[in-house]
Amino acid sequence: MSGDTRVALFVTCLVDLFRPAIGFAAVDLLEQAGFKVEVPLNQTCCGQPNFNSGDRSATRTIARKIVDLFVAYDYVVIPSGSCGGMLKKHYPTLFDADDPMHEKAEQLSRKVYELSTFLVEKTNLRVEAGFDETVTYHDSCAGVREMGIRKQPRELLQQVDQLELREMNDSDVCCGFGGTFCVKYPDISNNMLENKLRNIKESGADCVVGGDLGCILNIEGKLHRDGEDTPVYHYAELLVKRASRKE
Amino acid sequence: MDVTSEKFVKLSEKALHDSSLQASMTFLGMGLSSRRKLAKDRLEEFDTLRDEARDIKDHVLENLDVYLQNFEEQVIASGGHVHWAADADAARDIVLAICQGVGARTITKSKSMVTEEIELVPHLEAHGISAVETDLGEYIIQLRNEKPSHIIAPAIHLNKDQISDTFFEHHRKAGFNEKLTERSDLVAQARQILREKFLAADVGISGANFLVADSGTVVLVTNEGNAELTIGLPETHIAITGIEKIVPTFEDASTFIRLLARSAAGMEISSYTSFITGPRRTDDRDGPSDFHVVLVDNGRSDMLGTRFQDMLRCIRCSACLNHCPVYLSVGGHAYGSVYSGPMGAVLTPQLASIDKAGHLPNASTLCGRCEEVCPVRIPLPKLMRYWREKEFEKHLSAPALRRGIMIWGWLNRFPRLYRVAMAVAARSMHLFGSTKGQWMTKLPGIASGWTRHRDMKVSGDGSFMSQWKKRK
Amino acid sequence: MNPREHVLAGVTARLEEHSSLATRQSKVDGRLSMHGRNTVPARGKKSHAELIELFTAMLTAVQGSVTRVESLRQVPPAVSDYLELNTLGKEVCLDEEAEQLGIPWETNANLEFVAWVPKRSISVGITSCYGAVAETGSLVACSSGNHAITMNFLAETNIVILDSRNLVGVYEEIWDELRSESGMQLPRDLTLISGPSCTGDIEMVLEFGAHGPKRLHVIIVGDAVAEYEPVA
Repeated sequence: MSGDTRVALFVTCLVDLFRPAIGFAAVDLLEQAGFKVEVPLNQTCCGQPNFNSGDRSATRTIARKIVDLFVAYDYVVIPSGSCGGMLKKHYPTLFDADDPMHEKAEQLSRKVYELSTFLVEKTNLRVEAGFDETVTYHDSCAGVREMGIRKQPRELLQQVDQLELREMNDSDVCCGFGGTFCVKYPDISNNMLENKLRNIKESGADCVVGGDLGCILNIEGKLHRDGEDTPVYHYAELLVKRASRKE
Repeated sequence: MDVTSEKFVKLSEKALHDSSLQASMTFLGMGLSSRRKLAKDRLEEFDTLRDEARDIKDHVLENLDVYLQNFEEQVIASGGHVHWAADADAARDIVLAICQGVGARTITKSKSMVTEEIELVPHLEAHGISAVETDLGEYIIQLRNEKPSHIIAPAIHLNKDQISDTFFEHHRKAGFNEKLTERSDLVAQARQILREKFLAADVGISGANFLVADSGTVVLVTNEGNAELTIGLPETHIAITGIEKIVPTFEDASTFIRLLARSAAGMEISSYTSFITGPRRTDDRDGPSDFHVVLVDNGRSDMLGTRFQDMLRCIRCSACLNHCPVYLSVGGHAYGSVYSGPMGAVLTPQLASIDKAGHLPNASTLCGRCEEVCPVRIPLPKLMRYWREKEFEKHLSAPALRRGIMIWGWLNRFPRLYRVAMAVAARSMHLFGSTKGQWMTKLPGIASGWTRHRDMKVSGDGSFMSQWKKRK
Repeated sequence: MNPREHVLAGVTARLEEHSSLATRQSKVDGRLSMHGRNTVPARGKKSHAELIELFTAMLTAVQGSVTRVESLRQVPPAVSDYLELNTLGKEVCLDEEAEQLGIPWETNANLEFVAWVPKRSISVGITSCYGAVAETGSLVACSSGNHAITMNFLAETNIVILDSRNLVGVYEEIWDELRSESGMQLPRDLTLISGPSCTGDIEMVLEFGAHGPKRLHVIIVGDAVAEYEPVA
């Protein structure tokens, strides 16, 4: 936690576009933990939409740039399990073992942390926030299965004053977002989403919280379409909250 | 392999509106995933066995030709015959020839996905041979003239009433004039009818769950006992199998036996696990005098040495289906292939074609639950992505979406342009659709799929990067 | 090229890019000759008394049933009692292998023996077995010159006499036994029977007696074997 440690934020295209507050909350938390945060301006999307669409060529082009941009930092922190998984797990697979970029991508991979994992494993941050609500946690697929995120955000949320966590059934079953899946197969996506909303309702919680903005927008959008006013937060937003949303 | 996977979208739409199917799928999802977890928790070595199973299969695949020859030698040494079929046509003809050779008029068969794949039964029936499925689920769908909707529970899409109707319709001519309402009565009626078929069959046809190379042994796994009755009573037993089912030794087979039923249905082991080696011995009191193994390639060897080789590890347990939110939403028939769910999404384009089956590897969020539960650790999402790459290369994806993806890929090559575009989009996206306050209720073009079922909240604050720049 | 050559050539062509035939042959020979064990479940590495308990627990959990008797002398009354308890009448079919155990059937007049006729359904079939495996509550039935294994599947109720000395912890011990006895001369059909016949094909609810026996009852004869060594 010295001043020499260079921490970069990879903000993700979704946060950049749809909910900058998550990015600012991430910076806030990292600064509270004693780090000076840099945000390389030339960052872009991580390339996952292209990767999952089979456009390997464009993915490699994007990856090269991202690797070059971030590899020199000590830590690269990402408020997303799926973008984190892209950089950490998939980038090295894009390049053959004898390609110098492969080694660079491996180097970067070792420095990539999803936000909650970084806060729990690499800092002594004591969360100072209050949120007097019941929340239920949605585990994103990539978060759980690529990045091993399950306990970390819960551990942090437990530190939020007055917050009560109520687990839902099948918290780690896909919400139906899946990037382009939700527009390619909207009706199947909707079916999965309805199952998720049913589990959320059964949990009895008044708010939903997750770690991936894709899932969050998906769940939030459906709740709103259904006439519910249940808010859906990224955990980072709650970790910097000073009061209940009722204000 | 014949498929109707190109109709996936239409078929899945139909499935989503089929309330009785939806009820069956919900039940399936809840039941089998929790049972598997319980079985896994009861066996502390479960994950270690998965690693070992993966390694055994990889070893077999790397040396498959030698193992196949070994297996063949042993089958012949034990008094059996081995036939080789490069494709479905050849396999069907071999089986038909054996049946005709012994003058078979009726055959019974136990469940075999390969026989579904090669469409064996219609072929036999077209040549005047009556072929009766004896696995209860297969029997039911045979009566209904349907294809299986699940690789181990073929009739799982049906409820009790539908099965009752089917039995009533087809069993009346055998003198059963009462419509049954209890499951146990339905099972008892099937038992009675099929018992006669077992006893009268001229040939018994099975698949093979595993082939033990060391001894030329065919391993059959059932809960009903129908395999043993199928193959033990007639004079001729034909086992049809894919060439990838080899395991080296009985010790290796033990590892797979420990994984199969637990992964499939949360059972410690199936009721019957039979190790069949050759025809009856000279002084045996029962058993077929004639034993045949038909080894089927039908596209499998094409996967060796390719990125898809891992798929050949599959032991057809169905764990991936039972945990797949997409399969559980639409059921097996939507896939238009006898292989459905995640394993079907990878195998069908291979055995049929990516042109016809392109939807299958695409209709996935790559959530990874399949890989998480696969007993032989097949990286199913990665393999689905490989199919997407092939599709992309061949320009098979939907044009609008492909264009969108290519534009996005292009934009990301120019960070400044990207940053400007994001800043502009953040401030102006609400102009590109209908809005209700902060919420977009209709999005245009390829994004319209989003707003078909949900709204989109827009922040209106400007992109993160533009705000960050201002801060600095 | 005949079909066999065609298929094998197709496979070989894919493999020889990565390794030579000699390498492949040696790898296969190595694995087959070693027939090494993979990980064996700890639950099967117990004292014999514990294995008998485990076997019983496993089988009864899937609706099989188990009775223990001290010696062959107690088998006839045990069979009678079971038939009466389940209202199964008196007619039983005794398999030759079970007959050769020397059970004193004449001490019990409650049973009526019918001869085994191949390919005929029977009500109650009494069979012996090669052995049993505790790890999953599995009996080992083998076809032979004195055992018509189809009886195990045609009978509506299968009563199996298990000599306690033939119960082991894990499958591997059975394979070792077969190897040492006969150099792995396998029967045509070796079946692990781990419960009555069942199916979940109708709405995933388990029903019994799908095609094979509705009932499986095991009579374990004898005590735990003190000298038994659990597998390593």
